[in-house]
Amino acid sequence: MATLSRRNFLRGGLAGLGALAAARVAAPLVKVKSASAAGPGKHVVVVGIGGGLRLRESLGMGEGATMPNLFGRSPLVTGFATGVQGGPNLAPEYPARRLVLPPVRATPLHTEGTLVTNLRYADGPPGHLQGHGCLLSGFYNQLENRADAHLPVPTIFELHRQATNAPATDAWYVSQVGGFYRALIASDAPGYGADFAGVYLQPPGAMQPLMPIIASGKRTIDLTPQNPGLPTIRANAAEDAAAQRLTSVLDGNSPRFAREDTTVHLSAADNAAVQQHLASIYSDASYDSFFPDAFGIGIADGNGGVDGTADAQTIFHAERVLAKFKPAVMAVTLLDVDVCHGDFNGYLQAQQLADACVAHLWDFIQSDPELRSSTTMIVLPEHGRHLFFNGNNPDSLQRSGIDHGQGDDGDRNVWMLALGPDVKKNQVIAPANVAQPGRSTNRYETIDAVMTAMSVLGHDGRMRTELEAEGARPGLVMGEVFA
Amino acid sequence: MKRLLLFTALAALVPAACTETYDYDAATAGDPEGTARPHGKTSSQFVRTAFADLLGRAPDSHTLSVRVNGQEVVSFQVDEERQLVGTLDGLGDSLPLRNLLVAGLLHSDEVTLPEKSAVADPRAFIRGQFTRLLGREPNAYELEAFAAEWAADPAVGPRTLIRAIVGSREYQSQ
Repeated sequence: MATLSRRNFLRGGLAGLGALAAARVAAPLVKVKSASAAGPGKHVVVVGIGGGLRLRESLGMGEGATMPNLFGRSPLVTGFATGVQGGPNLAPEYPARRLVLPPVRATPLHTEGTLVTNLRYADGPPGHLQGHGCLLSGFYNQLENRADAHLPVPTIFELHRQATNAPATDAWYVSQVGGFYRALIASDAPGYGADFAGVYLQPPGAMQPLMPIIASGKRTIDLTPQNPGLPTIRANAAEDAAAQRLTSVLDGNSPRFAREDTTVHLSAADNAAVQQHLASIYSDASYDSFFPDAFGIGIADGNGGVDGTADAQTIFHAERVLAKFKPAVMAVTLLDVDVCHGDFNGYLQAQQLADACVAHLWDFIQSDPELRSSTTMIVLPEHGRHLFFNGNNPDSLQRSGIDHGQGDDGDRNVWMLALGPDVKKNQVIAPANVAQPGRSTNRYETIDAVMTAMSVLGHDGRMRTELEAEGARPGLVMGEVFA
Repeated sequence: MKRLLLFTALAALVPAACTETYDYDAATAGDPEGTARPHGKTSSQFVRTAFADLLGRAPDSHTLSVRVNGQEVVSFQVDEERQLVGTLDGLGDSLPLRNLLVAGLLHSDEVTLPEKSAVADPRAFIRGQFTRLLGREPNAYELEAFAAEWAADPAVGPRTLIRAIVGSREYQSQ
């Protein structure tokens, strides 16, 4: 048996508390070509480092090398720091959490792909829902923060499913954030919607050790050497299959759910596949399937184990989904860096964690023969943060929290890293001659990152058509990214 | 330990400032014309209904105590409904998690179900569960289909039958 579980259980309990608590395009001056990467059997993973990550601290290394796995230790943009940087510049009085991080890669990931250092989140409020709405659709938006607010254009999940007739399990949105982020899985676009939604999974919410405990009815858990196991929900494939068969008898005689229902309703086959996946997690008496120490990224728990942060839990389960379903489309939302509203030092540490998580995800993809040869991964912040401190919890280095949302250059200047078998290696670029009516900066934008990702799957034309139908300016495919 | 719990609880509140979901009541105004399709139960509605139907009680808030080798190492409050709603809402279509929850509840100390072999009249049992959980008798087709599965598949017994009904669109509808 894996280590008991006292440690794992406590972690679960703590995590549980946490859970209580997401035809106007003219020819551009830059040559924009169709992606050479497009083809059947391709996979795309879009990782949004949500929460607001500034260029200054990430590529600029203005507070040390906070993301060494992605970017190494030498600044990749000018104006913030010079020379080789050490670790994050934490205030001496900061009661630092003991991070658990794997050894830093010998060669930063950006050398394995193409890094665009001057990406612009050019329009729309720099808010979490709006930023991620853009990453999932290529559409600058002003979505309201409501659980029933849907994008007016199809999401990348819907575009893929409608084009390929793929099941929902071929398109996943794995989000650290719950709440209204659920609504991002399907749009209100005519001809799309819930019937083409992907699977939305919020690991910190859905992967919850307290559920089997509550279901067991136990109010006291006694763990002894003779009885080291924790309550589980037993996996019984024969019973599951029989229940689903009988349910289908009933469902065959009842009307489908309303299309405008607040939440999506997937097909019986999709739900059966998802249930089988979840059952394997909920039947593990060690609780390691919720989050194992072996993942090696998080906060030291003081007993030799690792408490996964919400970002770490999210990446761990994104990898489990990739391993089982090998979806063509996956979007991942991280958010730990948003602690910056009130904790600048925590923000620096959260960057270390996000950096390790993204590198772990890429290494996982590389460890799978099928995924390695067919997966393009696009990583970018959803937006940045203000150029000024907000005064919350100042430290002895005259730094304090930083908000986001007003739309200054700190909020809007970001970056994009592309990795994959079709991506040009060891390329750091900052194009400044990208032209398109309505494009004010002559730079690549967040919407271009999304369009480029969709081009890998051959859905860029469809995405362009749908955006234009909505009167929106579609993104451009970044031809320079591909080898 | 209390310090850790507090730390975690507080940490969870930090991002909530800009990610909090506003309440949305999905309840509809009914179906006066009799033409509208059903809306699904919210997670909260489902949890309360399932607890009432399967356990005969409402979800409660209680202290959970964890003991290792007889020594209590931690105890904390568990609000069953709040916790389960948060879990179920972690999945876009939460039916797979709802089904797992029901499977767990039906194995709990609070539920006593007859063994399949102890059910003398399967059709009466099926009718009884339809009436109890859906508020109606099974139609002839449903009764025959359920009875045939009961007879043919060893995996179909009282627990499976209840899981099937609770997992149905009809039960999951408001």
